[in-house]
Amino acid sequence: MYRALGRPNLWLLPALALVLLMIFAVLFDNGALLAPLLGEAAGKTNYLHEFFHDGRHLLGVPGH
Amino acid sequence: MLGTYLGRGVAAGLLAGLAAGVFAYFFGEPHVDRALALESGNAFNQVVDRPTQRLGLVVAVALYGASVGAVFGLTFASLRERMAAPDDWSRSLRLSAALFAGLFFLPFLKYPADPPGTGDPSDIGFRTVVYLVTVAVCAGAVFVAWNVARTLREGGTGTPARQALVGAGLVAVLAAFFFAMPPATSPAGFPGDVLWDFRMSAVGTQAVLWAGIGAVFGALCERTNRKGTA
Repeated sequence: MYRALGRPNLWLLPALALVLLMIFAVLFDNGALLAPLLGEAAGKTNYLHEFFHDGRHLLGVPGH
Repeated sequence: MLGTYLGRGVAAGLLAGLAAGVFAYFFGEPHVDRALALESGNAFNQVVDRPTQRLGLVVAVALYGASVGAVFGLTFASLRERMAAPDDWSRSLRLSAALFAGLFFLPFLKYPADPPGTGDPSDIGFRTVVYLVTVAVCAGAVFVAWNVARTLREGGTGTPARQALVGAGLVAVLAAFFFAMPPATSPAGFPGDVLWDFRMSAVGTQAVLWAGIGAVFGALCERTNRKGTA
């Protein structure tokens, strides 16, 4: 697919990485992504987990 | 061309994700609230209040829709030439049905969505890995089944024999796989009616999302195709 439909698509790998990062942030992150900003508080406050909390449950990923 | 399909996929995913998010807001949130009321006391830390979490639900489903829409667009671009369906609208709907099954519904049969207050936080990492493996195997099984069906069709096998064979093979493989995987978390003691309603709303959210992606993406392709031939 990297060379699909003729010419090489150099943007494909960065685009895929962005998609995976977004899925990780919405469904799975528990503080790791905000740790560089918030330090140790990121794990305790867990903003992304709390903000996406209901979505994670309803989209069917394992939770608490 | 790959970029065009990716763009259409993201647009379809974002639009369908917003629709699915609104669906989840009205039909899923009431059951999340019922579950949280049962859980009161041992809830996770509440740094985000409930109204914000309800907004977060719509944002989460929309962003998830855009992400799987991107995956949908790239998959469509790579498989389009090999799909049997006669036009892009039918191809799009069939691919969205296949991805709904492979990425959500088949894994859901073994590890269904659980409302707040049913899972044990201590083994969340293990359950997450198990779930991701299950998603990968189910999506892979759907892909292999499609490839086998294609080979049989090109080899001249009749439709009833082909579909029965591939269908039975898929069921057998997934039954063996589900049997070998660790059991799902038991929601022991959790009220069955809340659990059922919650899970139905989870299936409904994904159904709206994938039907929306298939329809919007298919319509975008058909619009361009019509312009091209006019």
